[in-house]
Amino acid sequence: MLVNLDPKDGRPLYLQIMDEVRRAVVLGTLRAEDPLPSVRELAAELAVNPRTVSQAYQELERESVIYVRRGQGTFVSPTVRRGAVERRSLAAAVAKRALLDARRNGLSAEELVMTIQKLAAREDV
Amino acid sequence: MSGVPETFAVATHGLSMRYGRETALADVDLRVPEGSVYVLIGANGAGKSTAMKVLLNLERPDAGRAEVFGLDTGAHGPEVRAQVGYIPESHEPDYPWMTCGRLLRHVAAHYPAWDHAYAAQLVDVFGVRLDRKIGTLSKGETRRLQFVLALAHRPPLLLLDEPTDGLDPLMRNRTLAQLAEHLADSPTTVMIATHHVAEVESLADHVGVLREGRLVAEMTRDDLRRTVLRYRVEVPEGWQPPPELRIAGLRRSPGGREVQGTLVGEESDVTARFTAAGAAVRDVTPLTLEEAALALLAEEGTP
Amino acid sequence: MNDGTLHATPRWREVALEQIRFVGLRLRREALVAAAVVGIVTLIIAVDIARGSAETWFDSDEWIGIAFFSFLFPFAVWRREKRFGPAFLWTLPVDRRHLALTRVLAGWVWLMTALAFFMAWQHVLAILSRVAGAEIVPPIAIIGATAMYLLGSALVLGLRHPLRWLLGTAGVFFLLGTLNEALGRTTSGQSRMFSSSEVLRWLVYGPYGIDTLLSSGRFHTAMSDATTVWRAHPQLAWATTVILWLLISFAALWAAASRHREQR
Repeated sequence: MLVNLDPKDGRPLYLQIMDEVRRAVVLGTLRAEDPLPSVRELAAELAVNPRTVSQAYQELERESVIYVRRGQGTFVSPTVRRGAVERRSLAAAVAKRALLDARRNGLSAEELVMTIQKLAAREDV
Repeated sequence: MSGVPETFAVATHGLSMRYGRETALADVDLRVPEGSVYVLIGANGAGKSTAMKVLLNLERPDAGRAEVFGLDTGAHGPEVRAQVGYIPESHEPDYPWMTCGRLLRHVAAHYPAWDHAYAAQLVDVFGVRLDRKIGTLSKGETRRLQFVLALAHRPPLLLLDEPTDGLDPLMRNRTLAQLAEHLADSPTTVMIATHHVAEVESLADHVGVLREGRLVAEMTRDDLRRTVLRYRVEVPEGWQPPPELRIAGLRRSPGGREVQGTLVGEESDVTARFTAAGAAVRDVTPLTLEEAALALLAEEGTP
Repeated sequence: MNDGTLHATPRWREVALEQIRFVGLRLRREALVAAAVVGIVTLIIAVDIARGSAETWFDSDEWIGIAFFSFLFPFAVWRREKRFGPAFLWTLPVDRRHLALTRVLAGWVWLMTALAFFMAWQHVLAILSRVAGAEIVPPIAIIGATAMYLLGSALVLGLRHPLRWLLGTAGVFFLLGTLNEALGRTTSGQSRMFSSSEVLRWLVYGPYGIDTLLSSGRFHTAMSDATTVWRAHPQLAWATTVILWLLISFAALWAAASRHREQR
């Protein structure tokens, strides 16, 4: 699992980490029962306060996305689904970013949607 | 996270210090929560370093007092210093005639909490050559030795003054990663004074900003992210920002109809105030820690 | 605190032992130089012994050398050790005044070691030379040496630039001396400026002078005022002098160390 943090993202770091994990699950790079890096490892890799990683993992555990196996580490929940709910929230996040970008450039939502459909129809995009 | 009141690793009360005409600290009330990574940002001046020296009782403030884990720093100097791992700003080695290994043993003898196994590990990670004489070390090598000395006794409080100064980018990365690992293993509060703000971006969870000796801002990193934002605003021609809208780094487009600046406050609040002032908010972007720090350091007319 | 326990400060015993080791390490270079000098001198004396002309080496006790050596010893102990400002020493978790005094103690241990070696060396040579009535420094002189060492330590610890003060004072003395010489010749007895050489003489050869301090009751005849004052009770003279000097030197050291105390 590759986690990248965006310093320009206005959200708290622990939320970003959580989203990255969820994204990996939706994409399939993280499957059920896959091990997650330990708090220590991830903190060192990202140069982040381990407490932040702990917080992210705790919240994910609360949402049953991951679970802790005593003495063995943290793993992706067996019951996690690459289901519609996750895909929808991912899509929402992407769409929100696009809309923000559009607004900043003075484009309306309708213009954006039309252009997206046109581009999606083309084979070479 | 829970309703438990925070205890502070470091708390200063009205700390003031002047060097001749220079004001290093002016009535500073720092609060560093236990277990946090607190980054103290400020322009190149004595303030940040002075604060740390006061905590170690290396300097006595002109006014005010400070506490580390509840211990008054003046009355309990030695006890406080036993809880602290300190990396000073200067790279000047203190005993150039000594070997690194001998200095490690020398310092170890003064800290009963010294972990010899961990020290050996740190020596490995930081690539310290024990047989080298300290006087022959480069700036970076000295700094790495200072890291080993500071971390080896697993102090509850780390005071790091420009810790990555003098290190090459690869070593900087490795050092910060090692610091994160250290935090995972030992409950530690870290206070970093630096102007290489970008590096500690991800590690920091609390931020304090010193401007001309005053603590102009102190908040969690998350709060900073949420409340220090850059606004791009559409304004009528000849629009002047009202005095209550304190905008830092104000920039105007050539036509005069667009204005950009950084403000502190909840987004909804600030947007409302802009609207009330006759401006329309087009775009709100979050800032990196460095950009936010710049804005806070440059802000005019803050109380 | 997270787990409720604070890290402990070190026990004085550990600090003292490490300081002694440290000072020993610090003085290694000086010790080597001293050993070389002693080696050369031994050879010279040996030659003289062989020739049978070794009396000159043993006709006066080298007390003034011991006094100087002990007084200047602290300069070597504290060489290049930052004492003022944010020094490394003061970042250690030890009470600062105590740490300074412990370092002084550590230096004293090595001074005693050096003097012990010196006295043993002298003794051996005296025996080998078979010179009758050979005068060597008595072991009791180490008390006097201690007082001189403490004074030197007070100087080094208490002043930022002890060498400048030392040379400066010596310079002033010298100037006053020559000035007084010039003036003393022209004016008659009355308005004579206090002579610096007189002060020096009193300091060294006076009733409570350095001579008394290190001589343990044996005086340089004919030169010493102490001889006239204390002739009847040389041991008392010595005891009084020793106590006086020790009190003064301890007080000076305490004042100097207090300059670095933890400010409350």
